[in-house]
Amino acid sequence: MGKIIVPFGSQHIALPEPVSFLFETENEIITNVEAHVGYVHRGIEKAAITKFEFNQLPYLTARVCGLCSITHAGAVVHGLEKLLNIEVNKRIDYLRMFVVELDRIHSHLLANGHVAEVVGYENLFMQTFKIREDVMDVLERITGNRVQYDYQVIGGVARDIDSEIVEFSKKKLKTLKDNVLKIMDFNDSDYTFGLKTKGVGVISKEMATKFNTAGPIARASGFATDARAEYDYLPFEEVGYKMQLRTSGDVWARNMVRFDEVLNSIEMCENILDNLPAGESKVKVKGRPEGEVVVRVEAPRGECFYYLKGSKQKVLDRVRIRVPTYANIPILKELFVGAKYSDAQAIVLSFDPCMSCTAK
Amino acid sequence: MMVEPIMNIEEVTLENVVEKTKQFYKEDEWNFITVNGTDLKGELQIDWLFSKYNDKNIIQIFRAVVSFEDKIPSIVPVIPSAWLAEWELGDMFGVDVENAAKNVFIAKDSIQAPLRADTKF
Repeated sequence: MGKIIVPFGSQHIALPEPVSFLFETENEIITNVEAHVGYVHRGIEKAAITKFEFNQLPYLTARVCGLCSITHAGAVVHGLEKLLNIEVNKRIDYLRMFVVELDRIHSHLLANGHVAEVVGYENLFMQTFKIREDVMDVLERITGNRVQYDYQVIGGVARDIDSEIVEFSKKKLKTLKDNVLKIMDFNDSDYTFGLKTKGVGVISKEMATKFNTAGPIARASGFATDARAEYDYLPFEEVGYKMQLRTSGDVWARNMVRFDEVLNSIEMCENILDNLPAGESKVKVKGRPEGEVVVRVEAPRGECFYYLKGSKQKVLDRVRIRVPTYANIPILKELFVGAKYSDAQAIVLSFDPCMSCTAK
Repeated sequence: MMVEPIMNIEEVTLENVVEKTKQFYKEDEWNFITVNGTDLKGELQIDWLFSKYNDKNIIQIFRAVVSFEDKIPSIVPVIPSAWLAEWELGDMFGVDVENAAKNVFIAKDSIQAPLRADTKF
């Protein structure tokens, strides 16, 4: 049989967001792939240097992505605080970390639910989304929103938490942990789920290194990289952060490393609640940003990078955003070649791709 | 104890950036982050950014200030993952990057080179 071109996207049942791959296939094996990622370009970098003043940027950059809005706002807040020479207290650091880790939990559960769905486990998908509701409740209670929360602001956080919220969160996190362990056990031990995910879309540690792979995708291949360990922006190690690694590098390992991280994030959140320092939730902000700064933060999908440049004006000169899905597209493209077309959905979804971020 | 980031900026030229990258880059030591363009109103500042694995807060930047008419060399022979960032640089600033496909990030019927300072919308 000759070569057949099979389009995958921009609209496809397995794709949460628009991206297009053109697969060249031979006997259902992918022999070449072409990627188009610009379907939803929204001009956020341009808007950041023309339409928005620097103190509005956390609000703007939170709109880069609904799922990891806290990451984008957090990165730009951290960068602006550097340019404005603002030091925040430990309570603010802890409150920021708390919401960042809650965000990671809900995003990872969403990703693993999507993988379950595309490999044919609709009930597992629904169960995963059901248990995710506990973390959504905590986020809503703290920030006022389930997603797209504007929690981090320059000099602090938008609102403090009280003892009632602390107790509410502890209760929810305990239930969540019990439920995650059950779902994780199914992912780990179910024979048929293993057939559909183990040995599929394997990235070796060498490949992950060669293509500068980011986030859980890298860590599922045993490649130890995590901005939380490589860049000081919040004191993660104080609250029990541990880098999670798996080694098989397949769809299954990517799911499992996300579950490992969910458990670690729950532990971190519990430690934060038990050791929340006293202090104000906002410090005074004055001045205008001057100079340039690079910021690296660990989004749920991997390292998110910001470059900010200001010259004491209300509007910055440059805001550059590089998101983790973008960093993982080169390895994804390599991975497709030689894979079965029937595995393409699971491979794509195991990357937890966010095209909204990529085409910011 | 929080560590302040160290940003090493090294000036390069379009003629020597590939060779400089080749001499500097070790894939298990350095993370290639991206290529960044900044419109200096008439000139383009290009930064090739790297961070060091397993070493907190080390950032290496190769920086060149060039004309918008210059042809930008590709570092893909040294760093295979760099193609996407190079293609984006081409689309966003309307510059000619070696071996780069066009209109991957910006559709053909969109406003072109949106990050140029003189592009208004």
